[in-house]
Amino acid sequence: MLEKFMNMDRRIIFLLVALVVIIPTLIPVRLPITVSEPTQKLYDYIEQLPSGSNIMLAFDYGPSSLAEPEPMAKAVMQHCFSRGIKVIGMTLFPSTVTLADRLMKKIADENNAVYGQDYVFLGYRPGTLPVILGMGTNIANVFDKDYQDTPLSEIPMMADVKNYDQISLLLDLASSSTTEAWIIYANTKYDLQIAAGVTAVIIAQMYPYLQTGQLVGMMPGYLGAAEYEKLLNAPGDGTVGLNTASFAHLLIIILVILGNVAFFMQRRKEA
Amino acid sequence: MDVFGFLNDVLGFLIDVFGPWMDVFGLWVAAILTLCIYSFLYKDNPFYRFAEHLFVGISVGYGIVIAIHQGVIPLAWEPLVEAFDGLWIEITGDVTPESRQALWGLFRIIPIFIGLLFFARLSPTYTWLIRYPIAILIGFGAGVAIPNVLQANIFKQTQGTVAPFDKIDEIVDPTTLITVHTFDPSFLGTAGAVLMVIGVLCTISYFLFSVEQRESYKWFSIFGIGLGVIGLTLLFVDNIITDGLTLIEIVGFVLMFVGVLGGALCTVLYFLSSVEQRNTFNWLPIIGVGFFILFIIGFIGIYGNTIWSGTLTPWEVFSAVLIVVGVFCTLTYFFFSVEHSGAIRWTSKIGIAFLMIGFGAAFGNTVMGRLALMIHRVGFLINDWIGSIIALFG
Repeated sequence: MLEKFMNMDRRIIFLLVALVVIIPTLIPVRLPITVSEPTQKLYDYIEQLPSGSNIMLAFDYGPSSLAEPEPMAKAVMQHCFSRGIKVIGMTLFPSTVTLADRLMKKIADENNAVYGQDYVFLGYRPGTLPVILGMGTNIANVFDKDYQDTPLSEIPMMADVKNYDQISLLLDLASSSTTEAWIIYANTKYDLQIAAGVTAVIIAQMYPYLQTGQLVGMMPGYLGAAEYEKLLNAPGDGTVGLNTASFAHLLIIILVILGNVAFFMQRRKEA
Repeated sequence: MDVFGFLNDVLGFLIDVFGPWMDVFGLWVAAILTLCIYSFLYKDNPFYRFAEHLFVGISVGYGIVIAIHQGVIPLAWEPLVEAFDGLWIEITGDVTPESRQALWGLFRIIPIFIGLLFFARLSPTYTWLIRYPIAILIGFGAGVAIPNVLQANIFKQTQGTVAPFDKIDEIVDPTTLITVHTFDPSFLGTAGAVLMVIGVLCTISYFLFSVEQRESYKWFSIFGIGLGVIGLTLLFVDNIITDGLTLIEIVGFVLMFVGVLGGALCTVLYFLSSVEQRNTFNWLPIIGVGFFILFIIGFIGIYGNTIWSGTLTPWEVFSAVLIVVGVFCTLTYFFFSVEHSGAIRWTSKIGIAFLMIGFGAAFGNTVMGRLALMIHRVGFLINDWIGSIIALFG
C-alpha cells in the first residue's frame, strides 16, 4: 500500500489539481479575506492623494504571467478613476504593449474615463535603464508620442507633466526584477515613490524593500488583488482567483504532508 | 505595389469580411493552443510541440516588430529623416525654427553607428569592432548602477535592518501627544558613540587580512578595543546620569554594559586564539553566551516598559530583533575566513535555518504563482470558450 502510494503516477496528482481548480470555477465559493499591511499601505497612499494627482502604471509583465497583475491593474485603476487621479500607463516589455493598451481602454470605458484627460498610454521604448533614467529628466525625451502616435504636447493631461516631479506614485505591475530597477534608479536617484503589484513568484524578494520604506506598498499576487478589491468593495477576478487558489493550496498542503509521512514511514520500514 | 502593401490590402479585406468573426476565431485558437500545451501533462506529443514552437516563434517575431515600431522608428528613423529634411531646407535656404531644431537629430548618427557595430559580429574580419558597443554598454551600465545599487541595496538595507531599534525607546508623551525618546543622548553620550565607532573600525582593521599583518596592527586593535570600552562607558554613564532613571533601569544599564563588554571580550579572545587554544578554552563560547544572556536581561530591564507601552508593538520589537539575528547568522554562514567550528558552526547553522525558511517562502510563493496561471487558463476555458459555445447554441 505504502509502496503503491510512493510510486503513484504523477498524472493522478495533475488530475486532482485540475479538479480542485475546475470545481470552484464552476461553483464559485466566497471565502473570507483579511487585508494585509502591504496592500493596506498602498490603498491608503492612493486614498490620501489629492484629486488631479498623477500616478504612473508600469505594465512590466508578459502575456505568460498576466493572470495576477491584470486584476491588480483593474482594481487600482478603478480606485484612481473614482478619486479623480490621472493614470499614465507604460511598459518595459515589448510583448505587453497591446495587452496593456486594451486593458486600460476596457477599464477606462467601465469607469467612464476619457483618454487624454483621465488616462494615457505611452507604450514601450527599448532599454530598461535609459527609459527609467530618461523619464526622470523629461518624459517627452523618451516618449515624444503616446502609443496612438499623438505628440505628448497635444495630450491635455500631459501638459503639466514633465518628469517624475509631477508623478505622485509609480506602481510597477511586475513578473520579474523590474521593480528592483525602478527602486534602484527612479527611487534612489529621483526620489520617486514606488509601489509594486507583483506575481507570487517574486513576493519574497520584495519584502526587504517594503521594510525599509523603499516601497510604499505592495500587492502580493492574487492575494493582493483580492485584498484591494475588498478594500474597494468590488469583488473581481482577484477574489475569484484567490478563492479557487485556496482549494488548490489546501490540496498541495495535504499532498506535502502525506508525502512526508509516507517518506518517513518507508525509511523506518527500511531501517 | 510592393509586397507589404499587397499583404496589407489582403489583411484589410479579410478583416472587413470576417471582422465580426475574428474575436470568435481568436477565442478558438487560444483555447485549442491552451489544450495543446496542457496535453504535455499526459505525455509529450506533437500537438504540444507545435504549440510550443508556435509560441516561441510568435513571441520573437512580435517582439521584433514592436521593437522596430516603438523603438527604431520613433527614436532613430524619424528624427534622422527629419534632420536630413532640415539639412536640405538649410541648403535650399527656406530655414524655419522647426527645421533648425530638427538638425539636432543628426547627432543620432553617432549612437546609431555604435549600435550598428553589434552586427560586426557577422563578419570574421571585423568582429573585433563589437568590443566598442559592448564596452560602452558595460561602462554606462556600471557607472550608473554602482552608486545607485550601493545606495538602494546596501546602505538602505543596512539602515533598514537597524532602523527599528531607533524607535525602541520611543513613547508618546501623554500631555503633549508628541513622540519622544526616553533616553536622549547628551554631548557625553554622543562623544561615547563616536569613540565606539572609531573603536569598531580599529578592531575590524585587525581582521583585514588582505594587507600585510604587522606587529603594530595588534596594538592598533588593542587601541580600538580600548576606545570602544571608553565610548561604551561614556554612553552608559550618560544615560544613567542625565535621564533620571529608575533603579531597574540603572541595573539594566549595568547588566547591558557588562554583557556587551564581556561578550566582546570573549569574541575577540576566541578570534585571536589558535585552534589548540580553542580546544583548551572550549568554555569560552559558553561564557560568551552567558554575557549575551546578561545583555538580554539588561535590555529587558531598560526597554521592558517601552516595549509594552511605546510606539512599537512587542511583535515589532520581536521582528526587529529577529531580523538582526537572521542577518548576523546568515552572514556568518557566508564568512569563510574562519573555520566553521564551535560557536561559529552553531551560528552558521542558525543562518542555514534562516536561509531555508527564505527558500521555503520563495518556493511556496512560486507554487502559488504557477497555480494562478492555471486558474486563469481554466477560467478562460470554462467561462470564455465553453461559455461562448453555450451562448451560441443556447
